[in-house]
Amino acid sequence: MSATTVKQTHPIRGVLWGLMFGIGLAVVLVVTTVIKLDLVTVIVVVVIGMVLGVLWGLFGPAKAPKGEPPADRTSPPEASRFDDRPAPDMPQVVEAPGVDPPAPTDDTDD
Amino acid sequence: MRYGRWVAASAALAAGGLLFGGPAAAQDQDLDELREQVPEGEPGELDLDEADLIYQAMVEAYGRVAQTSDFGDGSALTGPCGGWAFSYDQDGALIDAAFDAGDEGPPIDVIDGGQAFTSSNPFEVDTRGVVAYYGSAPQSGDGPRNHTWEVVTGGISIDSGGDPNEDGNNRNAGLVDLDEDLPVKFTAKVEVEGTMQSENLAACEGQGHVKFTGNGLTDPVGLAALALLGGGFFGILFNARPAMTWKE
Repeated sequence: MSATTVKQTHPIRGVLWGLMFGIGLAVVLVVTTVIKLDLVTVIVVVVIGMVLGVLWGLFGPAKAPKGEPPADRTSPPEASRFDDRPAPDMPQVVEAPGVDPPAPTDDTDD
Repeated sequence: MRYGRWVAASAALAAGGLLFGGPAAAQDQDLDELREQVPEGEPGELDLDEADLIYQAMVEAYGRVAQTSDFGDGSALTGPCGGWAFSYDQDGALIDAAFDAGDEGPPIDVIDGGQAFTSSNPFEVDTRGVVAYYGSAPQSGDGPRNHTWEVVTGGISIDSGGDPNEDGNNRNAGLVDLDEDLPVKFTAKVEVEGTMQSENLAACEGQGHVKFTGNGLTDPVGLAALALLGGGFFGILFNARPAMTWKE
């Protein structure tokens, strides 16, 4: 089955970042006396910031997907140095012919 | 709460203090006489008699200033209230001065002769400076007994109080040290409304615009706002942006 891409939107993140943006914008406009310090005006500016955040979170240009498509990840991974294999300087177990290997013991107490 | 605090709070909060009526288009000659009453440097704590003399001289000069019928543009006061307010910066230099004779007209800007406390000509105060004020209600006779007052800005009550005023005090003068009273410096233009009601006088009701002058965006409030604005902008841009994801 081939992998497809879907668009994931972030309206909640947009609201939260928009709240921060809106508060900052409102205070900057007040401090520069573009608007007067008025509760209604300040709330309107903050709401505008939140709406901008939501709109961007919903309809902004989407980022490209990260990584390879899932289909390409089905091939076996390359061997790494952490794979099980004896170290070169470890003694090698050589099985004698006609001798069964010892059965594994259960060391657990339970 | 004493009557004097109403006057002090009104002046300090930049709107209530001088929401008194007056003319707008003043003749230069008469205006000069009006301006002469305003101390050029910070006057310090004026006593009541001294402030009263300044007021009387201003009322006298004001009587020869052309009257105006302009009562709008965001500043007004009704009721038996009058007074003056002089604003000085941190170096003691005069920034703004406003005066009202206690009539039903709007307040007058002593510097330019126009209507004071309007949205286009707000009363300017330095958040590191001082405001000297004098107020009377009424100019002669008993002051407001058993009164209550409230100062409102942006629909929010920022100070209120009242006092029996058993002595019948009708005037007060003082100096508001904004540098001391405002620990956080900022710049903003606000519209303030003030009311005072008593059992023996008509209500004083007024509104006006005041501009608090600080260092703008370099004040702590401005820097914090810039940090929020930048953080929010980049948060929206990079963290709230939609993303494509793989789906089998």
